Amino acid sequence: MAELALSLNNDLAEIHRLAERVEGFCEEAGLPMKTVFSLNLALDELLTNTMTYGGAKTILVRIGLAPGRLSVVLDDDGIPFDPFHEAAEPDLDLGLDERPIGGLGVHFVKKMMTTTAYARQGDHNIVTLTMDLPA
Amino acid sequence: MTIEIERAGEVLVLSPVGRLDSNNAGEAEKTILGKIAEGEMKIVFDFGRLDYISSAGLRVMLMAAKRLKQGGGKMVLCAMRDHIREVFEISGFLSILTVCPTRDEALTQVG
Repeated sequence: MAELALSLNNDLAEIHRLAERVEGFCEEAGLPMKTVFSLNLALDELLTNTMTYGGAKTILVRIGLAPGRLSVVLDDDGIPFDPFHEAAEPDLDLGLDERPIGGLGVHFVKKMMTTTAYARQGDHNIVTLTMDLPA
Repeated sequence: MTIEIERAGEVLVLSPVGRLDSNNAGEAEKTILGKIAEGEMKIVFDFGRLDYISSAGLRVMLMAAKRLKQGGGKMVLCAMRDHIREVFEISGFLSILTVCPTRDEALTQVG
């Protein structure tokens, strides 16, 4: 199983640095660009929230690749926050005038990933994602 | 990210190049809403050279669309690559924003 592990500072510019590493990692594994894009979008959305609201100092990202499946663990030392239950589901059927600004990030993560989970372990938030890969 | 700005008659064409994400959405918001505040009523967004967009970028597009509509203006998006289009689709934005395949069609559509 191939693994990519990276420690990020609380700086939004770090997300692009991670995206480039993820792209390299996935390219080496021969994954399609669409998968790389979906994975990077999910990581971006979660990390943007953690960095903007969570007050984390460092965030550890681990991505594992097994046959047919990608797995991701995000480990941060910010305030307790479960992105999958505390964020409201957006209503996608509203018209332009009624549609509220924002609230799409976590929706993207749920759409892009096969499973999502959250746990609070000690002083850390642990977000676990998996993505089934096309055969 | 940079935003290239061109004029085609009454229409302002804005082309974001590169990544539109949480790291630069604030800057993009200032540029785009600034143009609307200056009185631009017809805006085409050419996404042909946009590599990446996250929810932070979509937020800016939605704000621009709302502002323009309130002021009686109009915006049309065009030339989205497939992975960008998919993000708009899962946002439900394809049904509330006008999207054209090419810049020429967008210029016609925005009138």
